[in-house]
Amino acid sequence: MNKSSWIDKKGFRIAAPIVFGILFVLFWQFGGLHWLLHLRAYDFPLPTQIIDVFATQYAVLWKHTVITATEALVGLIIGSVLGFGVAVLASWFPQWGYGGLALMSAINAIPTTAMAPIMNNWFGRGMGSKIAVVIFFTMAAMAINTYRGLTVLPPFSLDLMKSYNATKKEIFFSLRLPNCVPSIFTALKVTTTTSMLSAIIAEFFSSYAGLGFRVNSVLQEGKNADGWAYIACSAIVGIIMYMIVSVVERRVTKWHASQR
Amino acid sequence: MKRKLGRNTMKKAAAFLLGVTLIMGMSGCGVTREEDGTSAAPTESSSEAGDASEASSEDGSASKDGLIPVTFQSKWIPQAQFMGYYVALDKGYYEEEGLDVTILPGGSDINVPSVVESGTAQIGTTNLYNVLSYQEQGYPLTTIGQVMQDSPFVFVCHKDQVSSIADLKGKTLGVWTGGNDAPVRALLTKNGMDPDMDATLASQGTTIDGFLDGTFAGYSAMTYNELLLAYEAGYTDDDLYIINMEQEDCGMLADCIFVNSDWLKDNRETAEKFMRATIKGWAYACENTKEAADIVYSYMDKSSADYDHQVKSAEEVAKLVLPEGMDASQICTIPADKVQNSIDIALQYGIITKDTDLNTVYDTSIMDDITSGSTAE
Amino acid sequence: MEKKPVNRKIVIAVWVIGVFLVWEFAAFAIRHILPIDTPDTKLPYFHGVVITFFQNFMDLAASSWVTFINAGRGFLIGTAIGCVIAFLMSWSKAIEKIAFPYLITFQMIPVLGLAPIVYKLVGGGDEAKVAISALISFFPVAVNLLDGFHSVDVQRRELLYSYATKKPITYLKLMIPSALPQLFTGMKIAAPRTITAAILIEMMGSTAGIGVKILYALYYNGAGSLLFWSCILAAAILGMLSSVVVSLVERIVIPWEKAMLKKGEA
Repeated sequence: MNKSSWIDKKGFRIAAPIVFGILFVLFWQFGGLHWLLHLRAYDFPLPTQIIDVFATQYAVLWKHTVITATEALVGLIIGSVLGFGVAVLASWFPQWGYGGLALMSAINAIPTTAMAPIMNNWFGRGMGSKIAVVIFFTMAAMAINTYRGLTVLPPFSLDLMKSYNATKKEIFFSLRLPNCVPSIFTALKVTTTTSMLSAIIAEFFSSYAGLGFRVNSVLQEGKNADGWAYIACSAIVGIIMYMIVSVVERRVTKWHASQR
Repeated sequence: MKRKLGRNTMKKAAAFLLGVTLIMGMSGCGVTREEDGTSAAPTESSSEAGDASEASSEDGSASKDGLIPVTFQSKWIPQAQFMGYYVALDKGYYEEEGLDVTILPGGSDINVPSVVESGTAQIGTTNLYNVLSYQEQGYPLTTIGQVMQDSPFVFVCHKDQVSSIADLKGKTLGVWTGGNDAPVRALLTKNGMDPDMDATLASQGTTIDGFLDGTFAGYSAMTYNELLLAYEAGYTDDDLYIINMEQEDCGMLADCIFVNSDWLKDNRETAEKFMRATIKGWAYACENTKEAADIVYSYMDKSSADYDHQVKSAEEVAKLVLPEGMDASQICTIPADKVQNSIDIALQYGIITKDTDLNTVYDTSIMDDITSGSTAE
Repeated sequence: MEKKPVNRKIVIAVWVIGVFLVWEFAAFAIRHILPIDTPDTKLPYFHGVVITFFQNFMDLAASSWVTFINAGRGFLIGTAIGCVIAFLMSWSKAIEKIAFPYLITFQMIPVLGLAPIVYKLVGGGDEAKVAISALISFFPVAVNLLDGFHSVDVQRRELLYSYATKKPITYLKLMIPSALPQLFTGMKIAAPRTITAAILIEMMGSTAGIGVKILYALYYNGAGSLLFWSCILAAAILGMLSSVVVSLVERIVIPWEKAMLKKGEA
């Protein structure tokens, strides 16, 4: 399984997506995407049009990106901590904790578009309500994944611990916690993307500023180049967040099978 | 050994279950259509009022021979705002003209110009200033009728916070996004205020909660809906300060009927038939607002919608479609001077960036044919 | 030392009652104890919501069913796409390294941006709903399944390698069965998302479905109205139901997982 070919080289990891990306952008610029999806010029902007928007409106783009990114990040952190807490409690009290997880699933099941108006009424129409929405959805994903990590242990590992007469606390810190670290990262990978998206969808409903606010506005006016410039901003932030999580994951879970 | 057998059987069971689910899913397709029909509308002609234009074209050939299928995209959920179309549908005016019309309800964030341009619907209704914006981007759209002759836009404020236009300064104001904030911007600028610096314009979404809980000092409203909602929430004229955009010369023309220009070239006759039937529907609705409200109400979700609200709404809409002094034969005609005014405001407040020639915005030939030819019934 | 396991149903009952009490108290508090204005727009009484829910039960159920079917089709397609993507990425490291950033980028595009393009490709109505649902839901499945493939015990992989097992067989006998639990985790996260997606699209314009009811309730009665909350309750139940359905399927497909879970929990 250790084919140390050029594919595994670090350079390839960074270069390949970039090369692919450049090829894709060229394909797009010369009308490839429009031809492929039967789109007209006004349906979808060309890369040069999007770059043009960046060039002329970077201050506005930056302002709104910062707002939404802050909402997403703060919500992500708080939500992850809370979700983790719920999962830990659920694993400590396995019989009663189950209800907490069911509650998480229930919250996860509420559509964002329904959460947004409620949060707006509770926390006003500024950043607070958007952060609240992000918290709710991040909490659920983190709780579900972490719970799995805490309870699905390698076979016989629990028996081993018991044979050492380990206390519940010791089992927790020496076995369950390290075991759930990969699950935490799996959850983070999903929640980093959903946090940005949740914040944006929450902004669609009622807001003062932010990427969602702008995307909604400009797309309704048919200004697709502007709209996609904002979408590009959100995508870039999402990728950066994801990359940070990936890098941290690589450092922290060197021992796990997925890292070999 | 036992475990191995068990696993294989389980895999077969899973495959079976998956297959069943798939079949259920696909047969659910048929269930959806029927359900759509019964929950949406009681009348025969709209039992195909599902979400797919395929439905109308499929059935168009079989059960309604000779009728041309037309899909019409509305910009919101069925309500008195669109009573003309529903009346025309319900009373069979479209059928008389040889059309099998399906009205697709709109919703939040629906992009009507995009739907019409893509061919999912042939004809649509949205605000005129919305169409202007798309036309500038290059979308091949043409307006063929102007339903609302006056602007329905009002700005409703808490009297204790705002009792004159100047009081708007420094307040948080509710607006709709997508260019629908232009009338408010126009109002502020006309009165010496900078819309970006002297007030906070927040998007109010689809509820008036922001106004009710005091977050907004004032909010955007249509005379036929949000304003009535405020009254129904218990506010009286003593509590409200209402700014009428039309009177302040900041109103822009709203609901119009538009089509894809390319489609129009090949289907002019169909468009004309649609307009004729639609005008008949609107004329009837404006004369008989209560009956029109009844008809529209039958298409609505009754657990949320209030019948009395629709009756009042219908009266307000009638005032906009058939204003005082206008003859019923002029319904849906395109008022060139008002269109020009809308273009000017749109240009000034950034909805469009270049001036537009009136004649590229609309095509009056259809309305001209109708008004010069037959008499309104 | 083994405690007698408490009946799951009792646990849920206790939790539901707990939530009910907290909610009722909160609703009471904001009206009578705390100085909050317009409490009606913020939190209705739980009992009010429940009553309204049952009053409109048939209506809500019918709408929910429509949404469920549409979402279900989207879910099946989305899961299929997710599996294929995860499989491809696991098979070839090259594909994984190249495709992953773009997958994430794709997830970041809000529905509003995708909708016009999807409409152009598949036409309007039900097909668009299904397509967009699928697009929104494939990501958790792909990510989780890929992680599942990656997490397969290295020793086992090396064992099969030492037997000179061909790659397809390795996948069939080892990778896929081992990754199934992760696949189902992904599906459990994706299922409510698909429902949310279907509701989102219904709110953009549709004749039936719970999303339409939510839009009506919101538009005419605001976010504090009992009907709105009843609709949300229905939507939440729908989402949970979808997760439960996936769990049921999981129990049939990988019965050994349950055994492992029990061991880990004790």
